[in-house]
Amino acid sequence: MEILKINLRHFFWLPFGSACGILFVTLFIFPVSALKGAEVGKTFEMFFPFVGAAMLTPVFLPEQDDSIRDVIASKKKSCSVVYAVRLLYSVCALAALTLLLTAILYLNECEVHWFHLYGGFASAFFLGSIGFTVSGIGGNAVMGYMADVVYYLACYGMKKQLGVFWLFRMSAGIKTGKTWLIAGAFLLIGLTFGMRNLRFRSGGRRGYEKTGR
Amino acid sequence: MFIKECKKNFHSIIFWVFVTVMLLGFRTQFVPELSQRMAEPVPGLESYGTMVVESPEIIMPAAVQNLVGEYLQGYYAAWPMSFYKKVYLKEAERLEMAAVIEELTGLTGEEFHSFTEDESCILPPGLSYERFRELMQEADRLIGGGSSYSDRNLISQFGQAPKRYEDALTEYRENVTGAALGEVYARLYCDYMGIFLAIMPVFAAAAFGDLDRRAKAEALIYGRKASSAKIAGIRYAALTGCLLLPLVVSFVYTVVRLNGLYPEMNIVWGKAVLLTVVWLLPELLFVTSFAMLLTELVSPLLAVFVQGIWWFWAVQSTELSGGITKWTLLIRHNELGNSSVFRSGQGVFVWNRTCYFILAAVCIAVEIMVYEKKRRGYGGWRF
Repeated sequence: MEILKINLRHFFWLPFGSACGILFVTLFIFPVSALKGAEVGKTFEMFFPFVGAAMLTPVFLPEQDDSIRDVIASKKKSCSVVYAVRLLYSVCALAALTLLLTAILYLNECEVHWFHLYGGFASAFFLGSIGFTVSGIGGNAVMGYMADVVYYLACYGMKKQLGVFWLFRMSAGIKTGKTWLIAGAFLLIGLTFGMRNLRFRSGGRRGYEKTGR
Repeated sequence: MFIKECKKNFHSIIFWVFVTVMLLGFRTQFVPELSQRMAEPVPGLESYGTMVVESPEIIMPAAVQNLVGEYLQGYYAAWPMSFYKKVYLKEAERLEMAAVIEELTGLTGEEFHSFTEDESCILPPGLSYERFRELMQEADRLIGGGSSYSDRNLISQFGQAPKRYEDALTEYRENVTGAALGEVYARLYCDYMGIFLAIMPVFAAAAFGDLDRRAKAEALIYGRKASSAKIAGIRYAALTGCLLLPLVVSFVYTVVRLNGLYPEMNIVWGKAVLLTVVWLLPELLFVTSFAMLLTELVSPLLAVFVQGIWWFWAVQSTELSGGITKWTLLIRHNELGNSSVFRSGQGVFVWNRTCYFILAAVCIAVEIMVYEKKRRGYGGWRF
């Protein structure tokens, strides 16, 4: 509980503020009244996934500062617990923002269904997990954001190659297949935790210094 | 120091990801255009596309018909901030709009209220083109700006005329000449590469800008003899120089492929190179300097966030061709040919790129000032 409180106080508000900013821009850029069918999907998929990137990519950001990293590594509790707590509240905040967008669309007489809520969350969660993985393994949040943007760009021109991991299914009128994104996100998150633990064990506390620029 | 900074860039993963993305973008988007020659139009086709002409005979009835249609359906399409918006008028504005339509059609309110979609408006004989444009401005003002009736959009929206075979052939002959071909392909090349260039440099600039702090080398560098202008200037020059690398490689590849595709033509590359430099260099300089400034001033994450939103805004709001405005970050011309559309906006193009060039210089000057302040002990806002 103490870990949650401290992390919420120090490391939550900046990513959450950015995520709210992205949600605000989404509402400003895309029409939000009386939408039907694929148009609703576009509002959930064309820019909203960056909310996931804003929430999940900076989970390891505090540890980019050596002093914070050393303090956390010196504690009895495993670092993974701290990361898991941060990840958990980030995912909850993402779910809350997806719910908020759904509610806004619903109140503006759009034909919103449960699969929009699920699909919007899945796309954002998956995109965020890519940034989470790259920043976690690469040791640099900027690299994580870069990976998010690169993947997003790839979704424009590589629909076939990305298959079930293509982010814009609802915009193309496809209502199913979003569970793959959720599964993919969990896989990436598991991989990240595994890699970080492995690096920590092999390099000790200083092992974290072997990070990218 | 310049060489040292370049080496530092070459040893970074972020730089090589940048290079890979730029070259992949080039490979997937532009290279397919180099696989076959531009097709010569053949007679007898159903359509040869459309072209924009400023002809009152075409524009006036089409615009009035559209305005009446929107009035009757009760809402108007507008793009006030470059994004689509449905505009509903208040009662007082609706009455003002009815008065505008009465003058445009020469009909009374009751008469045009009974219009159906199939009926076409007949313009009153005394309506001049100048008065028509004034009334359209009035309609645009009532809608709140950014509508199809604004001075900027009126001709492009309603001046669409079908291209004939002769027009298509003339255009083809204009484009497929040794003098013009380089520019024709360079425009499409810049269109695609510009999209990537409006976002990708920000990551490199943000990561490198934050490097001293991460390596805890700030104090060490602050204490050096070299001036802030020299340190920040050389770093900026080295970074932009390195970021130019994929552009140089891809452009050289384009030149070689096109020379092979049109062997009988002696393609003049001077103008194409100049166009590419004027189009892409200010964009690269600005995006890089802006990201470096925000990184120095506040945080690399803010740089990524601000530039990310700006880029998305620009990609979504810029027309694929012919939509050059004074301040748009992205300039697009997503087609081979249609040179007249590009030429018609050439003045704005030069203005736009000059502004971004100046803005880049301003950003780097401010960054030097901020850096100098930090060296003297006044910190920025860091989170």
